[in-house]
Amino acid sequence: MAVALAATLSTSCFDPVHSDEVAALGDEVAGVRTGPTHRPGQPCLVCHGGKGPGSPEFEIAGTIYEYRSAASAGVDNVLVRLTDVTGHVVRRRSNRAGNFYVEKDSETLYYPLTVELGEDVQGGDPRIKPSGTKSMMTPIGRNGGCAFCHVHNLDLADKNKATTHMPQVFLNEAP
Amino acid sequence: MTRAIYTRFALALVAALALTSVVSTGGCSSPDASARVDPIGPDAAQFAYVAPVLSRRCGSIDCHGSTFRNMRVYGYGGLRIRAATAPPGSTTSPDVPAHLTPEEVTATYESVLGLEPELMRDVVKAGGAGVERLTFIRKARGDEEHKGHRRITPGDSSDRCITTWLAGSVDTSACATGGCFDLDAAAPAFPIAQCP
Repeated sequence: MAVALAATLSTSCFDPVHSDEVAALGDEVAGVRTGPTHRPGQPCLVCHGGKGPGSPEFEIAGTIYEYRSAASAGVDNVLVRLTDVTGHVVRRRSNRAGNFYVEKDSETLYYPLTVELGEDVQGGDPRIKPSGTKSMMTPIGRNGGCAFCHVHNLDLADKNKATTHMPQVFLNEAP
Repeated sequence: MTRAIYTRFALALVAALALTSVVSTGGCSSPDASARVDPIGPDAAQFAYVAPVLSRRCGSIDCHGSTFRNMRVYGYGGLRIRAATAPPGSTTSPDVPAHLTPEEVTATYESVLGLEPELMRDVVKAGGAGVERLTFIRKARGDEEHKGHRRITPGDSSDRCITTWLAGSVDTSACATGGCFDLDAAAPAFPIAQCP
């Protein structure tokens, strides 16, 4: 009976959809340690959204690239300003991989959220042309993983993705 | 004597079962296949002003800008439909073009209308009275469980835009404010703009 109970419990906690999503992300890139700079461009909240296996859990997380093209690298030290529906503002800076994140334990944000890059920087961020700032045109409705909508290396020939996903988050269209 | 009682009891039981069967069959009968609902939706032409509001408030990819929702909202930053007039080889993606296409306005209209056609008909017939009967209004206002929480506030510009449309005379200024578009631009190709 104990064996049957254990088997039932173990199967009831298994989420094959989530498991497949995690598996689809593949292995770590050689030479990059697991941590704040790993897996840029990937949907952070798949692993860090509360179902594991990543830790800590994130409220919001994503990667910022310099340009729209797939060859562009993540860009560091970009100020990300998030404003939730109550007016609560959270600021984070991207790291050298372009990644930024807000840990669940540190903030509670209420959707919808608006996002600005380079805001609150004295004179704006000179890397963002021409104004020094950039705002997301639509609010984030319910998913804190930027890559849920913004796909790195979006292939416009892929009809399934190109018509349903935004390109990666970038500062400028082109160099 | 005893045998006669048993026979009568058996007959009574059979009769009761037959009666129950008839009643339950009638109770579970199929809907009338020939019945039709005329939704009598709100004005389709006026919806060109409402569509940008729904696109802005509800239509992001992670919400109703997805084929996985019953209420599908088409437009910038979400689901797109390639315009019939789009040049061959041109891109159609969530951020291109930066305005709604007529096809997207129509698709969103049909999606909204198809949610509760009978109720929509009743609200329109009542001149927009009792809009809270519509689930999409209650959810948008946050009056009913909604993953996206409250997206419009009763009385704000977006709410006025939608409710005046349901009443038959859309408040275009309210729509322009709620949808962040320029009324001087030609409907339905209102260019997407940053909300203040």
